[in-house]
Amino acid sequence: MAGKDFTEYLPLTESTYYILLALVEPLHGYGVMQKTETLSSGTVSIGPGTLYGAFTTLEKEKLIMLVKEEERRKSYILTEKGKKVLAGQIHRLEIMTRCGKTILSKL
Amino acid sequence: MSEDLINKSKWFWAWADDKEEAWLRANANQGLHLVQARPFGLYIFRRGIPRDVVYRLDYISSLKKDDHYFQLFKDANWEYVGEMMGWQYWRKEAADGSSDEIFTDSESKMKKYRRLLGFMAIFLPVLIFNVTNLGDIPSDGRTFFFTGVQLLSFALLLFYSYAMLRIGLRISQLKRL
Repeated sequence: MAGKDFTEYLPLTESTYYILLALVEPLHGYGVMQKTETLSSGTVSIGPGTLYGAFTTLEKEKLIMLVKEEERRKSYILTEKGKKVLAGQIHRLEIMTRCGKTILSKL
Repeated sequence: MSEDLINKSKWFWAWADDKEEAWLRANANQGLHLVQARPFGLYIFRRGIPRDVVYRLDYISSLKKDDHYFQLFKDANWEYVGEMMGWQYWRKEAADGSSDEIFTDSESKMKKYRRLLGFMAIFLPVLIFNVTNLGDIPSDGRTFFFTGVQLLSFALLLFYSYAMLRIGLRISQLKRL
């Protein structure tokens, strides 16, 4: 059976989007939480319950992979498949902001 | 047993765990800090200095949670209180500057209730089997016993269906525009 086409994961939730974006470098959970706050200029914060569930799902779907486990902390990094999903999401967001700005500017 | 320990009894439905969280916070504000939650709505508190402490409940089966789970919460400033039948009790000081939520989007809140539904569904076949099959047993001296089991199963099945419906409603309330 062929793997899921990456478009099936789209659109990503805001949390998932920032989690994937944060994981362009290996990070453990708390690192992802902090980086999300910074990347999103404080508009998105990710709680530990949300992150634990997201890690489990994203690892199962092979969008991220485990790189290190030390002191009871797991570190993950984005996979090639994860990069494709992220690029697909960014493409969607570009269309959204472009058409949104165009329409709003005419009001 | 220290005399600083206080028992309280209060029933909360699984689909209204936010009410339980609020009640635990109100107790903490009166100086009663949760030591242990026990089945059937029994709570043990320790009397101390009143503090504004936020409580949050997660539902995750004991088999699924691991060291990584606990470390993630601890790193985010949450203190583990304990477990009661799959419910994980977490708390933190309200004014520590970090988020008061363990679930920060509706999708993950919905998943919590789905895990609960998934666990409850395990017992459904047994209940349904009891209700539908036990009645066919020919009457003899044990009829009363079987009818009793059947009635009990029927009552449980009704209760179960109602609870699952309420949890399902809770999930649909969390769906956003």
